[in-house]
Amino acid sequence: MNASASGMSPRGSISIREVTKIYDPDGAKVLAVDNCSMEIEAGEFCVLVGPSGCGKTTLLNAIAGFHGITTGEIWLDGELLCSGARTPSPGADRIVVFQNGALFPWFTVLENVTFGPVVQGGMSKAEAHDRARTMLGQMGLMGIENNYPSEISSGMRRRVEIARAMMNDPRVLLLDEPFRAMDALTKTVVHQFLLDVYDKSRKTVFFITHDLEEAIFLGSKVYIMTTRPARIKKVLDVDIPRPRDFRALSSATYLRLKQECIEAVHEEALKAFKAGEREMA
Amino acid sequence: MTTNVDALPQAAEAKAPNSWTIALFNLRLWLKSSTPYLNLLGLAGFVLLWYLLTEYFKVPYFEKLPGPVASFREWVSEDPAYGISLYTPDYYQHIGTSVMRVLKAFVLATLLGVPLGLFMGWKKIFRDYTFPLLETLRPIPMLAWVPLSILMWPGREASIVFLTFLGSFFATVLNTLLGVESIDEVYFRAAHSLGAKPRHVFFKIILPGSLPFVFTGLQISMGFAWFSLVAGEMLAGEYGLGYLIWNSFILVQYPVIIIAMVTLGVIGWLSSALIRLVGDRLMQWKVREACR
Repeated sequence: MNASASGMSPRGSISIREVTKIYDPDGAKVLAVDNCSMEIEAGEFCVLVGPSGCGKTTLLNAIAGFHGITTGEIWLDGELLCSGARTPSPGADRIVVFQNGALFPWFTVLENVTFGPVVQGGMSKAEAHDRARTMLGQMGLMGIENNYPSEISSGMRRRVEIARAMMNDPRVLLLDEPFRAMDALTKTVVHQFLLDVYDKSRKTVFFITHDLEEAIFLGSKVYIMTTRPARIKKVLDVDIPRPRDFRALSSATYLRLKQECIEAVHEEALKAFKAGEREMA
Repeated sequence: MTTNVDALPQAAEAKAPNSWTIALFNLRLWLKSSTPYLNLLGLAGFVLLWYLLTEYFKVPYFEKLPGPVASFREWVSEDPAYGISLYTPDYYQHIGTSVMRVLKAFVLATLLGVPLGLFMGWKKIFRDYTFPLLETLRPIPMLAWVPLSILMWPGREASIVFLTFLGSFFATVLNTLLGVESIDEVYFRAAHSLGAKPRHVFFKIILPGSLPFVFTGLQISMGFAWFSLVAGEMLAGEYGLGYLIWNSFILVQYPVIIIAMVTLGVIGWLSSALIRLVGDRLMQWKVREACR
């Protein structure tokens, strides 16, 4: 389909330049993202951490093409994707995995996973099914392809959804707090799964969370965001070697980064809390 | 690794049960519960009360009504006093006529109503044009349409089918529209993100996503169809259960009224059950969800 997908030239670098987003629903202007800039290299596992409702999702939705931005520019692989004047349409090169899951309940696992290639017309149905079966097998998800999403566990559903995204060979994987509603045990399984997928594919990952430990465990770079309006407060380079597993959680590097992170986030959390109190009063 | 599947408890979710297994399992479960017996008891209690009021104690006001025993005797009589029983071809002709009318009206209402509802839910501009019209026409009772219907259509047959159709149509459109609106926005976003074009959104998201509401709507619309049919047949008919009821009233053949009413009830119930069956068949994902 495309030569660059084979790994010759890495794809998926994102450049976010002075992006501002103002929501203006009924005259009350709300500044969601304020002059935010970041450079994400191709193949980087980038994690945004910040308090709930700080504007992280706004940034993700702009990359995904669900809405535009007010000023600034977002570039993808050296092409202008999004600016104040230009809103891209969503596309299979930037696939989103949603907070509450968005597997189509009326389709089986196999139909869900092949949805992308089938609607894009790049593959015949049989070919797509073959590829999907192979991929599900490699990801340890065999035997459930004829089940409906409601019949498998929430951890399985998340993994299937990531598989559905990977079937499209996207340039960027956009994950919007995908493991938010999960219990701690299920989380360890899906974390490992996502790390494996990342290690094998080296896709650019844009991951949003409010969970510090998750951010450091998964990410190569962790961007700590301020309370709304979202600005970047601090950037951490996570130099824990890959492939990572649960043992990384007790390494000295991890603990040091976590300490750094907690301090930065705590300040923001306090600010958010006080702002909330002011709004109440 | 895949050989010893039975030993793994979580492997159970790998086996997708087919619809017959599910139906049989549910039937067995149902027979084991108290539900079917309480259902029967409730029905029997009603018939008993009716019998006591009309035939045994002959309570004032009720004594004029035909009782269950008299009606049942008439229904199973080989030589019925009023000419309608299980053994008379007339009985079946009345049923057949009504069923055919409902069927025509219902199929037409579904073929027109479902696509219309889907389009209204899909395209806002289309919805903006049509919704106020729908909401104005929908509350007009079927009986109010009778004069226009008689004016418009040649012969009584077409006008009865038209009235039946109207009753059915609005319920179908509205429920289909609600069905489209019930689909979570996130599925549209996911579909777009995966590269779906408008026709894919229509056939792979809007259509399957609204089916649960569509089938609820079809059951309601079937109910309305029978309702409007009887109204239509009472006004202008030669055959049909509605006509039979009204005619028996005029000719003072009261047990026949009961026979026709119960027949209507049973056929109405069967037609709803049939729609549910088709719906379950088309929406295995819903059926299996309910099993869990």
